[in-house]
Amino acid sequence: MEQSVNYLGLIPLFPLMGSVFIGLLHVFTCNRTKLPEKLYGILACIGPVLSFILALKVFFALKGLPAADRFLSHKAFTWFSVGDLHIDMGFLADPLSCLMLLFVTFIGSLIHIYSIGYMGGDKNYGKFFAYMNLFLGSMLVLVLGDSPVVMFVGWEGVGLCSYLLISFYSEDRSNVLAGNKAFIVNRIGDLGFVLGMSFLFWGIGASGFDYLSLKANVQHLEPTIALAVCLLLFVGATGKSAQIPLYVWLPDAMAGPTPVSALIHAATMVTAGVYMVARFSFLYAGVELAGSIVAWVGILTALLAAIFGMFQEDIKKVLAYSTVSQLGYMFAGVGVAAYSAGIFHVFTHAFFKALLFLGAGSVIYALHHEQNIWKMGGLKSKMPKTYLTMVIGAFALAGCPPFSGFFSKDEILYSALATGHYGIWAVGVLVAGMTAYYTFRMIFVVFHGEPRDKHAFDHAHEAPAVMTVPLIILAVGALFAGFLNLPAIFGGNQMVTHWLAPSLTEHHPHASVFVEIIAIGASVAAFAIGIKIAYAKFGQGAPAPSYKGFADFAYHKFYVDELYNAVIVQPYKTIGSSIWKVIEPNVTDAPVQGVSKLYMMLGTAFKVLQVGYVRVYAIYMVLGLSLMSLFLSQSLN
Amino acid sequence: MTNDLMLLMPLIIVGAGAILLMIAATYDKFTHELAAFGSAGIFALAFLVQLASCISGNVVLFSEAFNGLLVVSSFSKAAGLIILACGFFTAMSSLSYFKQNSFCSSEYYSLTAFAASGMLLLTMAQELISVFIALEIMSLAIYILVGYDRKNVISTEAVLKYLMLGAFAGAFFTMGSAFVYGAVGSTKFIKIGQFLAANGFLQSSLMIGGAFFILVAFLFKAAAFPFHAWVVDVYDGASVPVTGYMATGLKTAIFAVFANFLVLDDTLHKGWINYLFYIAVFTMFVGNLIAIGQQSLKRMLAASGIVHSGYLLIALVAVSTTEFTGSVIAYYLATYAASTLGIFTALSYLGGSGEARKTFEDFKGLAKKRPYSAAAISIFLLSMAGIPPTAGFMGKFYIITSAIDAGQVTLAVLGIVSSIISMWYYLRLIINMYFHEAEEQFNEPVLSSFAPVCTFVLVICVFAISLYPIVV
Amino acid sequence: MFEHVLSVIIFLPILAGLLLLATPASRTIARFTGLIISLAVLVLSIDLYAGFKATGYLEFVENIQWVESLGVSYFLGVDGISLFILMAGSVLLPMVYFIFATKEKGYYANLLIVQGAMAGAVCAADMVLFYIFWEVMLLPVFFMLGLYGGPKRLPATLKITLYTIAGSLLMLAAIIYLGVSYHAQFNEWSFAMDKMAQLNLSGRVAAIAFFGFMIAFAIKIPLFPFHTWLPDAYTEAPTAATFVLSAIMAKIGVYGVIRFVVPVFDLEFARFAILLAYSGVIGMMYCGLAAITQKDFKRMLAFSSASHMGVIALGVFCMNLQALTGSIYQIVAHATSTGVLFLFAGILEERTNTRTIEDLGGIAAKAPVFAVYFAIAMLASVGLPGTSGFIGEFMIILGAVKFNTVIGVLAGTTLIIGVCYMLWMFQRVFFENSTTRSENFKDLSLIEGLAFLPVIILIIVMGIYPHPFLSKITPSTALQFSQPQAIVSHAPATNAQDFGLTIEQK
Repeated sequence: MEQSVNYLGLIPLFPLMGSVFIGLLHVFTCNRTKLPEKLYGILACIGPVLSFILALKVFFALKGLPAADRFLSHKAFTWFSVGDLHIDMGFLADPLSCLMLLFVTFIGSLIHIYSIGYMGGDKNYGKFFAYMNLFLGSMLVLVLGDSPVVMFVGWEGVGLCSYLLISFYSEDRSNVLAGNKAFIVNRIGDLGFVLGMSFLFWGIGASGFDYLSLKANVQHLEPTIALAVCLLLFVGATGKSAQIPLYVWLPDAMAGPTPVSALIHAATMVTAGVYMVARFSFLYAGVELAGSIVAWVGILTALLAAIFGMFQEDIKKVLAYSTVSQLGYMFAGVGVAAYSAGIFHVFTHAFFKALLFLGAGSVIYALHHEQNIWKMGGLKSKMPKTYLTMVIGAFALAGCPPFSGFFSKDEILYSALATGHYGIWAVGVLVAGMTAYYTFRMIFVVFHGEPRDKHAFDHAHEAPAVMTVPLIILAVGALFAGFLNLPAIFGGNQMVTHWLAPSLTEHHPHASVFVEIIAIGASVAAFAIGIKIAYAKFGQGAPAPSYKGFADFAYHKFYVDELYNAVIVQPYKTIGSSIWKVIEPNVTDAPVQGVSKLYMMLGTAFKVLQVGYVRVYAIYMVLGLSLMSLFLSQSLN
Repeated sequence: MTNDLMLLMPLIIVGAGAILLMIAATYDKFTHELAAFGSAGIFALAFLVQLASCISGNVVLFSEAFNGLLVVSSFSKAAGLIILACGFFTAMSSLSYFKQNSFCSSEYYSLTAFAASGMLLLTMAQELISVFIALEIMSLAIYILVGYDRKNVISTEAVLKYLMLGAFAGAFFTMGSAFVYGAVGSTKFIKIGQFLAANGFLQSSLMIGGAFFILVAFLFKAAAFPFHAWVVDVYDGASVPVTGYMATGLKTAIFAVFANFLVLDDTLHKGWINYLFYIAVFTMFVGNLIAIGQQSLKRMLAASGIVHSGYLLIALVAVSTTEFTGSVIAYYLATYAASTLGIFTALSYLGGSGEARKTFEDFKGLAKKRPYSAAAISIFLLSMAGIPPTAGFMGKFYIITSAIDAGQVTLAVLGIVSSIISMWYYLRLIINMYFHEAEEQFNEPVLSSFAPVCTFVLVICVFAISLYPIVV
Repeated sequence: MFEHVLSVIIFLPILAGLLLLATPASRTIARFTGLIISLAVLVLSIDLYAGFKATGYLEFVENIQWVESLGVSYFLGVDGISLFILMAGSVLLPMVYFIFATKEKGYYANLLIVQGAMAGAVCAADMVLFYIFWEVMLLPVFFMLGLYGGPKRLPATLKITLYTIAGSLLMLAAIIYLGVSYHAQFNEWSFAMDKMAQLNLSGRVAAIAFFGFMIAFAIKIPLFPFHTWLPDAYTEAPTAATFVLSAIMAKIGVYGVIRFVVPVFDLEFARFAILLAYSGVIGMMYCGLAAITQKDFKRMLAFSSASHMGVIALGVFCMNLQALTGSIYQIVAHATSTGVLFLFAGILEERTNTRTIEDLGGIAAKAPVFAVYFAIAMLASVGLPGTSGFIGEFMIILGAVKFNTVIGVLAGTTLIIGVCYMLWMFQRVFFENSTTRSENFKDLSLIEGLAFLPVIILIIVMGIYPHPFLSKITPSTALQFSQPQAIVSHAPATNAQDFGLTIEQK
């Protein structure tokens, strides 16, 4: 059923090679003659663009096949094989991975182009692009990997890149700390992933450990193991996709350059968790409990992040929390077994979130790396292109029909409702309103009203074309991407859902049109209310508020970071130091010390016995003799 | 008869040589250097003869001489070889030693030869009276040698102690042999063996008492617990070459005769096994603990000598009375002799005039000034500690194997433990020599190159013995 | 390919080293002799590797009677298990001569001797021979540590030497016990390893012998709680010695477990495996936690090395094919990652004259090449996929999960623990702003860069295309489980539950 095409391997290979090449160039030249930035820029864009072209090739190749067997695969070589454990370095392109492939490469390329402008003048220009290419390569491995283990390579690879890019401005300790945080938190998730894989392997992995064989044998898996595997893998997902309780790294990750935030921490990497769950849909579909856990964790994360988002003052933090919140939606989607809906939201979200970040980026760029929205204001006249595109993005994010975000989010909420997860639906609607509120709060504060920082305002200017063009392209995407999956009620035929069907195990709930209307109505109403409040408060510009009570609590993100620090980080360090300072010398090493002490003591003691008087020695002899003869007499009778 | 004489030839050579040296010593022209060469020559000659008879390997394993007073076995031959080698190296090292110390006269060498003849006799003696005579020949010579430095208080004190306590031992031995004679009606080992085979060991209390006293005497000479106390002081008092000679040659002789006596009959061996077990254990551990505390090198070596007696006792416990070859004991004695002699030879020219250097501290930083000597000493120490690939390791390996093979697992493990303990004081000297800065220049000229050459030869021996373990 | 190649690999360095010690050669001569000899050995070993058939049994066998009366023989041979440890030594050691140019004669001479001795220990197929090399390989380390070590070297030297010798003497007793019981059961003397598998041992003495071996190896590995000699020794030792200790010598401990304990004491091993596995895991966590608080990066690496050794040992104790193969692979991976990290640490120390993490910073900007190399080695040591570290670690965790779920989960935490201290250190040393000491940090010279390059490439290659390596290991590891199938297969199932019971038995 699956046919082999040898160019699949090339798709990740191009960016990887690019990164190696650029990296070497940078390493060997950075402390000597600087190479022109143009060179790096061009080199950097080759890889992603080539991958995008190949992705299109893959897409059409798949399209050419009948829906049932839309599987292209390529086994590059045997990766490792010990006993039953046989892992190929193999790649699999099915509708699901193809969709991811398309937008990852597309948006990736755009952001590379954008970065040429944004990173201009940075002394580590080359390094940046090396990392970016490396990231794209790993992301593609993640998407294309035909077995969990290969996927894990990409999975960790993107984690590494996000670490490297978050701590890109490594002179500043806080950035590096943010990077460490991201890596370590991701590692906690990865532990879950690895254990999940192990259980899965001992469950059914012996007969082939790639997705297709797993899918074939999934019914042989005992339910308990299946549940364990689902939850463990989801732990991995929470790490990568910033869900409760491991979401804490994502907001800090905004320390990285803005294109990084756009590409890695909004559009692609963070959605890997959702993709993974969809990949394992054959597994999750079988385990109700796991599904609803995923859904609830997702929707609660959405709520929490939305609450935080409403009180942030750093423009990128606002967007970061909106990302976390949207990811929550996606998990709610895949949790209620509406995998296509979840993936579709991933797809649309990639466009408008990348757009928003890049827009924010160009604002920051214009204001010379000013990120506090309370120092902005009235910028719409200064940078109309950015304004326009960002508003489109905002509408999409807020879920205003007919922008892309609306359709995808509505799909999720509808599925929740239709499958009887009313609670999830209710929270979802609430969050939709909050989303609308904080999104437009940001828009109004940044672009409307009076400039708050006159000096910065005067120097502000529209970004160069190399940055605005990608914005516009993305804006178009954010506008129309929704129509790709137009539900029947709007006279569409859900192209994306049908496209994904072969690679997902989902059965679509057939609820009445009435339910669907309720869903749509509710989310539209929520949007309207949200934007209304936002306009009322910030429409004509407002002074920086001083938070108190709950607001202040939310502004400090419920002190979760402090909590983690107190409950996990500090104890960890304390244990470490106590082991080193207390346990090691006094417990573990004590026997050794004791033996040597005893030994020396006895030594001195016996030295004393050697008095040197012949009479004493004679006494020793006599004593010994009498003792021996005593024994002798004992032994005789 | 000629065969007998051939077998006794080494003994005859050494004995005659000793007498000749004594006579020659009366002439002033006969300096002690000449005497040294003379004795060395005698030892060498005897050694070669012995070696020849070993290689020619007389067909019959046992061959009686003088109707069973002396018996030459392959074991006694091996022991003899070791003793003669010890004598040779002692002569050589004394030669260098007396370049720096000036209390020598040519009789010294004839005494070493006398002692050697006593030892040789001891290895072959299979009859209590002759054992006693041999013992006394040896001991008297050694007494004098220990106290040879008359002006030195320590050495005179040492000889006093040794003489008094030695007298104890002699007394015990005579008493013991008297008892045995009373029981058996003969002093020949064979007869005693037959008696034991016939009546068993625990039947006649005379026999038990006699055997017990003899055992005590041997244990004393072998410096086993609880008769070990004298060793440290005596070794310390005696001059370096003599100490070396005692530590090696004397011990060899004693253990040879001890083994010969012990394997007379199974019942005898069984009877003493429990004793020997505990004595061996105590000897090892007490020796170790004494060694730890010592500051003086010679005292440490003396104590380690006690420990090695402990190992040899393990071997004695493990010997099988049927088809007794004593190969393990002989091999261990050889390895021990090689390394111990090596150290003493090295000390004899490194010690400085009047044995100025004697403590561990005195040898700090030797490696920087005298790398080769330091290396040699380290090798000897490692061999004593039983670290491969030196001879000491193979020796220990044989002993432990024989012990476990004889079912004495506990004893074997205890032996291992004691050698773990012993690591420390051997390493201590190495650390002093290598890892500390030199506090003095070891720059006095080496007046005679004999001792260094001997040291080198002995280093070769240490490796050769281990790499080609010729099991006798 | 000639039939005595193993002997040459073993004795060429030893003789060269002794020759250097015996002659008053200058340090440059010493260095170049060392370089040439080690390269020659490298060539020979590559030849050996190429000629290796991966039959699973010993290859390139040399067997000469040595002590007939006790059946001790000069018996050499390599199989998939020993081959890789041998290769690790031959590949890694030449670097040292490239990197450390200004050392004493004895430094290089001892390095040569230890190389030969370790090769011998790995190739020896006779227990007595193994023991001899096992002891001999300690002596050069003893002298290097004592002569060229740091300020607090003497206590460290004594501790490691006495501790290790104590262990190995117990092993000697155990070896002899095996030989004797072979004699008792088959009435012929032999100390050949392959014959010992036929022994059927039982009862208390067997258990004691088992622990005789285990303790010796546990000390060498070092396995918790026998690791206390390690931090001081690794920290005070000169870089090359630390490198040798961590990269190869520790591995020979694991090798010993695989070679002696698993085949011979299958019953006891199956019985105590759970216990040992726990000590491995606990050691991993214990040392990993201790590492996070170290101020001195060399000491931190020492702890991290101990932590990794815990995982590697665990792989052996899990008693299934994946875990065992994984730990063999991890042995090489760890040698290439942590071992090399120690060399980098040595370079850092030489160029900044400090071992304190606080004194450093911003080196990444000063020395990009060095930073990249270091980062790659570090990522390998935290087991990032795509580097050599991942394959082994993954297989060990996989096997551990099968062996016992709790242990599997605990073993997994190495993913987190490892990354914590490594990132912490990397951040302070390589990122942030440069300090007075690291201000004018010189990047790797061309020679150094090229010297390290093969290993760095090896790290990547072993991560991306491990199959050729594994295909040489697997036959031998598979063989380990073929003979005592009965015990090993059901052992985990049984002893997984009755953990309490095994405690009592101990």
